[in-house]
Amino acid sequence: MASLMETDVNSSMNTSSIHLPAILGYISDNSDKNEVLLEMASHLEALGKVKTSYGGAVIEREKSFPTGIPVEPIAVAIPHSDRVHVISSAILVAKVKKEVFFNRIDDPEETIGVKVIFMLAMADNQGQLDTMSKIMELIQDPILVQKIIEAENAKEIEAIVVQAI
Amino acid sequence: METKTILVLCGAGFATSSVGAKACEDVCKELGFKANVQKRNATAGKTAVAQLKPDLILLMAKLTLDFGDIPVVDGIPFITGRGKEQVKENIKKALLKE
Repeated sequence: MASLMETDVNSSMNTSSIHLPAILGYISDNSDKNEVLLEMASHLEALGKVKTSYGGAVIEREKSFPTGIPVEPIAVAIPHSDRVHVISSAILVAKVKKEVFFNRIDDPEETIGVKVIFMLAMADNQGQLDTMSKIMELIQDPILVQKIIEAENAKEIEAIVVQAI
Repeated sequence: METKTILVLCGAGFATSSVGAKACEDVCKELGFKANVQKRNATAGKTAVAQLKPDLILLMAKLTLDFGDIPVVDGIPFITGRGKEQVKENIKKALLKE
């Protein structure tokens, strides 16, 4: 595994690509926040991106530091957790068919109904500056968020986000 | 070139603090300071303040900790997108005051 990764790094001339997380799409019918989070975490786990502990850790984090973001016109959330639960960096972008209520990052006592969830599974803490700044630009872009909502399947969501990054 | 130490605190996981850190680096570059930007989780905040003695603390989560005399700026607008420029102004003011 280690030697494989080294080969990847050595063969890549573009050093910035080393830290790029995998971008993945997802669609959920669930409207319960914790159930959606666990469903998304299980999806990442099945793909080998996070450990079993990730979902529970994300839910715990939401309790003390919620991530519902009141961007207009469509609110989003950026649930995430400590890197110890992450195996390999990934961003799982989910469209939820029904609004899911998250507490607000800027006003934790209040909730907000979100339609798009960016689950951020980051494996290291000192890189990622550019990627994360880019992700924040994306969530603040109403046209992109609308495109994600109109996507018909996970692959389409992936393509939309990859193109925007 | 003068170095400014900035401590960026977030809830957990470093996703939001990454955004704040990038903005701090940009502001320091603009002002001609060398930036020493450190990211920590909220739980490590007190220890980091004691160790780093930062010129500024940027909060990327709603935290109600007492940081004494160190200027504190609310960085959440970097995430919500509303009031981003004002946050940059606040960072500039805090860094130039010293």
